[in-house]
Amino acid sequence: MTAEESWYRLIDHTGDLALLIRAPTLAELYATAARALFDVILDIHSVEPREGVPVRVRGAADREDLLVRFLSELLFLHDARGWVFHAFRVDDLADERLEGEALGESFDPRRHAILRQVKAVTYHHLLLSQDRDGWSARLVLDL
Amino acid sequence: MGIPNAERIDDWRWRIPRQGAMNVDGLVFASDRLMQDLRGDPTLEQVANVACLPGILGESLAMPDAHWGYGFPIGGVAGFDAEDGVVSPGGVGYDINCGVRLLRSNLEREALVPRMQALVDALFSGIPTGVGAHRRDESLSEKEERALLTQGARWVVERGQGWASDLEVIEEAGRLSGADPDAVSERAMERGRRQLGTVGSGNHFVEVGFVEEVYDTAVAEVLGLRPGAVTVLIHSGSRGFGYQICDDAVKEMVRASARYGIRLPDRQLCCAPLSSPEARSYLAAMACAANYAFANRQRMAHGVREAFQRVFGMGPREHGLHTVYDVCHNIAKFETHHVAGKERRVCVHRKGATRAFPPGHPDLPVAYREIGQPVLIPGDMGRYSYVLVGAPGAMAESFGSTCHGAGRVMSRTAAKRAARGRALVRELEDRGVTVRSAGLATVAEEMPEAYKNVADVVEVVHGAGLSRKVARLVPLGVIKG
Repeated sequence: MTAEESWYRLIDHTGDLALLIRAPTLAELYATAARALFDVILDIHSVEPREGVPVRVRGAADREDLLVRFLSELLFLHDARGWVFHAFRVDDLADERLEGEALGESFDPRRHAILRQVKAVTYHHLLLSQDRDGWSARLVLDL
Repeated sequence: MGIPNAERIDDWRWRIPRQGAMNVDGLVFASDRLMQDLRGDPTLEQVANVACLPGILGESLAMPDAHWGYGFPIGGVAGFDAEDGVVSPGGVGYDINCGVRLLRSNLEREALVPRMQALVDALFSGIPTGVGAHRRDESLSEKEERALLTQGARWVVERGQGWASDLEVIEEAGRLSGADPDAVSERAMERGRRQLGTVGSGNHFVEVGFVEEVYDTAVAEVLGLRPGAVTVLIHSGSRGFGYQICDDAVKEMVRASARYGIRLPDRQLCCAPLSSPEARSYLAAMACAANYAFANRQRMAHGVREAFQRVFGMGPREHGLHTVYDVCHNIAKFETHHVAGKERRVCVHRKGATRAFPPGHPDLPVAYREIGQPVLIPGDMGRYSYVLVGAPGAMAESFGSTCHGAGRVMSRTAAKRAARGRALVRELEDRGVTVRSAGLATVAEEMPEAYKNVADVVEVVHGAGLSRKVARLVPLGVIKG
C-alpha cells in the first residue's frame, strides 16, 4: 500500500473518501489534486510518464467547479480509455477554464497495482481557499 | 445549519423537527443502539438538508443503515411532488440502479464447501471485476448499446445470456420505461461500451452463500429458499456509464438550480423542477443507466451459471440457479402514494434504500403478489445477509421503502488503520469465507468491522413494520473488485 504522501492527506469520512490538498500556487493545487486522485487509485510511483495527454476544461462556473471538472476529465480518461497518470502540468488557468497535460501511460495489469476504484469527484463539502502559505482544497470522492 | 438533534419518538423512530430552511421534518428509523453512531454525525445534517428542497412531501427519511454520504445521506429516501417537486441526480447517486440480485440453487452447502476455492477462482476469471481497465473480451457496438439502454435485462436474455424466467422477477421487469439514448452523452456511451458484466470495486461483489435460517417458512417456500440451499448474491450497478450520467447531470444542475432560484445547502444537492427540460433529460438518461445496471446484473448472473457449470459439471436443470429477485438501491421513480390522506404522484428518490411494496401491490410479479416484494439486504462479507419482504408499514410511512444494507460505521482510513498488521483474507478463511479481490486496498477497507451489524439494521425495519424478515444467508465465497 502506498504511504500517504505529505502533499495531501485523507480526512475521515464514513461513506466515502475525503482529501485535503495543499500547494503554493493555484495552478499547482490543481496539478497536486490530480496527483492525489491517482495516488488514491494506484501506486503512482509504478506509473511512468511516457506520454502526454492534453487536458482541456472550459465553461466552469467557478474555481471549485473547475477543480471538479478537471478531475472528472482525468477520471474519464482513466476509466474509459485505460490511462494511468503520474504527473500533471497546468499551463493556462482562469476561473472558468484550464489547459494542461497529464503524463502517464496505458494501464498494464502486470506493473500497475490498483488499490481501489473512484466512481466520481463530488461537490459535497467542496472547499478551495487561499491563505498566507498558499492554496488548499478539500474534496470528497465517491468510491 | 449544523448537526441537528433527533428526538426519540419510539423504539424505532426519531424525529428531526423542522427548523431553519427545512420544509418538512426529518424522520430517522433507528434503534437506540444505531442512534448512538448517528448522534452528532453529518448524516443527520444531510437528512435536514434534503428537507430543504422544494416540493418535498411527508418527511425527509433516513433508514437504519443511513450513513454520511455526499449531498443526500446514504440510506436516504425522499418523495417529491410530481408537479411542484424536483429531481436531484445526487439523490440517486453516481451508481444509478446499484442493486442486488439473488439466485437460489438446488445445491446443498455440503456439496459446495470442498470446491469453494475452485468456484471462487472460476467466478473471478469468468466475471471481470473491471478494476484498472475495461473488459477486453466483450464490447458493444453503438447500435447494441442503444438497444440495451432501452431494453435492459431483456436485451441480454435475448442474446442467449439468461433465462426468460429471470425477467419476471426483476424490479420493473428489468426495464425502466422512459429511457432515451439521445439524452446520453458521448462520454457515457464510451464508458459503457466495455464494462457490461463487470462487478466494479468498493462494496460491490458476487457472493456465494447458503440459507442459514428461515424466519417465515411459508414465504421462504414461495421464494424457493430452503435451509442449507446454496444461494448467490450479485451486488453491482451501472458502472462507468451511470457515473458519467450522474456527473453530466450534476454539472448541468448546478447551473439549473441557480437559474430556477433554488437555494442549496450543499452544491451536491443540485436539482431541477420536475417540469423542467433539465429534469426530463436527466430522467431519460437515468432510465438508460437503470437499464444498463439491470443488463449488467443479468450478464453477471449468466457468468455465475457458467462458473457453476464449469466447476460442478452441472447443467441448468441440475444446478437450478433461478433468480429469486433483483432490486434497485439507487433510483428515482414516479409512484402513487398516499400523503396526508390524499393520493399523490410522487417522484421517490431512493439513495441506498430498497423499494418494499407490501402484499397485494399491483406492481409486483404475479408469483409474489401474495407475499409482498422480496427485499435483498446484503451485510458485510464476513457475517450474513437477509431476505425480507415488503410490508404495509412501508406504504404508510416511507414511500414504500426500506433499508438496503449494513451501512458503514468506520471510514476507510479508520478501517485501514484497524487492518494494519492483520491477514484479513486468512481471518475470513478461518471464518469459512473464501475471498478474492482485485483491488489491493479493498479487503481492508471493506472489512466486516467497518460495517454496522446488518442484524441490528434489519431488526429496526422489521420492528417498525416497513418489511418482514424471511431468511438469513451466510457467505462462503466472495469475489470483489
